Amino acid sequence: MRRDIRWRVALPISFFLVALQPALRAFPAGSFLPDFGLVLLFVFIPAVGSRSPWFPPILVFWVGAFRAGVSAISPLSSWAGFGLSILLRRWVHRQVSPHSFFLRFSVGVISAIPSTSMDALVSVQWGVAFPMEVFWARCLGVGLLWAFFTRPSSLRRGLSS
Amino acid sequence: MFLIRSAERSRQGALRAVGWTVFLGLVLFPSPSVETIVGNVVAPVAIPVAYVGAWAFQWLHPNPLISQDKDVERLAQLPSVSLAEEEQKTGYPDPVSGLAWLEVPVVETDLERGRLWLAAGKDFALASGQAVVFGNYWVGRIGKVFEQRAEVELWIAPGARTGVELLRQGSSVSGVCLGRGQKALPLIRWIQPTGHPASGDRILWRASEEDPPALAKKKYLLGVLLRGGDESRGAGEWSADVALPLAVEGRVWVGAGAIGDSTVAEPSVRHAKCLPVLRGDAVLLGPWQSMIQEEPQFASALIWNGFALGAIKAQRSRYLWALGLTQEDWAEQGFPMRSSVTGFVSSFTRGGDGVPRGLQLGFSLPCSLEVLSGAETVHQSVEGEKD
Repeated sequence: MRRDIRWRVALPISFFLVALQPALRAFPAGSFLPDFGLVLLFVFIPAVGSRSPWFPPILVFWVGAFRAGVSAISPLSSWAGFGLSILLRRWVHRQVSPHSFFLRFSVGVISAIPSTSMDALVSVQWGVAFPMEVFWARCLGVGLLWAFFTRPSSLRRGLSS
Repeated sequence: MFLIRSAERSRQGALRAVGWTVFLGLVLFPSPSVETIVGNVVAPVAIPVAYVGAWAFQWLHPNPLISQDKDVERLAQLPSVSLAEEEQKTGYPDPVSGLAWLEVPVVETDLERGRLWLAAGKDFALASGQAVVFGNYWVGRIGKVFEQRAEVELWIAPGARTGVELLRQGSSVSGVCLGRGQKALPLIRWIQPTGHPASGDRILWRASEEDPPALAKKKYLLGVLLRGGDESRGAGEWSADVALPLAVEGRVWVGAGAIGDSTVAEPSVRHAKCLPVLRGDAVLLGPWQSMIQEEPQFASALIWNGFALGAIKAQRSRYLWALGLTQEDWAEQGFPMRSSVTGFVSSFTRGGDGVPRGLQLGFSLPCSLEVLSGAETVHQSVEGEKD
């Protein structure tokens, strides 16, 4: 793990960006921002063909643990949401062409649904409001980022891995 | 052992499916013990992230969102009332010679089954069959007694029989009250044949042979007599309009011939000082506040000077998350009461799930850093057995 350069990049960036999230959420319309943890996982974990089978689950573990510092949501719920989102992204990504912006956007939106649903579920359990516009804004935000930053050329170059 | 490739793939797929099912089961139906273990595991990572997050928050939002002056103004409008004192004032019964009244707080109520769970048991000289009252109201009798807990069978409990006297302008008739739970009115049966009861008669408690003679002279109210049912079919029946004060959910008085060192059994409430870390949640909406406890102990509510600031929703070792609740949110656990001292109506927590009874409501999260610095967590431990 120490030799893998991905850890030296992924962990510090995840740590600071996840820690920054509550401050950004406190801005007006900050609640509509996509979840940073999920976006980071989508960036660091390739949609297909991960070089190490342990990299995705261990990174999910770390991002979930970081998230436990800035959110009341149980780490178990975070891990489940992230894991399901990554599995769904892998499956949907294989079904559609990455050459269409709209299809890439759809992959991002659909993949964000499990993780955002877990957050919404916890909100419901605790009696805290989680409006549908916030739910869809977060999913659409992930979709937009995924569509912009994972163009076929970047996939070929392997930037996402 | 080597499996053929397809069999190995099936085996791995099955293992993955079982793992995911168990994992999702734990997420959808959270287990407190698993959550505690996971929370303790991630706490060493989560706490540094929280501190960095708090620093970033301070950096991006240098001006406090809530001013100390505003908090002081809000607090000045809220009268400070002690629920325990109010309950003691209205609930302490008249003295009975040869009998001591033990004041016992209630830790849990189950009105469906007509049961109250008291914060004392054999350790406080409670015994089965002792009379339980609140002021001039009859509450019931002590049922099962454990080392540190006891059960009260309310007179409205399904199947509970209480000897009663129906009183009207000096004349009285005896009968038996039969409890039918919270949803149905208790019935008055086996009324003395010579008597002529009428709607509006007061229903008073009648002592049994086992009660002390001094107690038998006392009159404790159960309710008012009502005539119900279908008279035309010959199915008319006498029932009781229940008069049981709401405050019996807080504390009751138990008549005992022999007492221990103390006559008040306050439940143990653990307090822990804590410091604010992060305002607001990175994922969820609402007035969230994360705090670090000085001592690692279980917490149920965040309080300040007797006011409930919020309910603790998540705890990871010493790191915990409180959610500010409005009076409407506390509706399930809270209730209003007019103070006999100030004359104001104040709302209090009803108690239960570790939250102590009698925390004042009306001042909640989010609040200024100065208030949060003096906040502490509380947890009312419920010890002893329960069926």
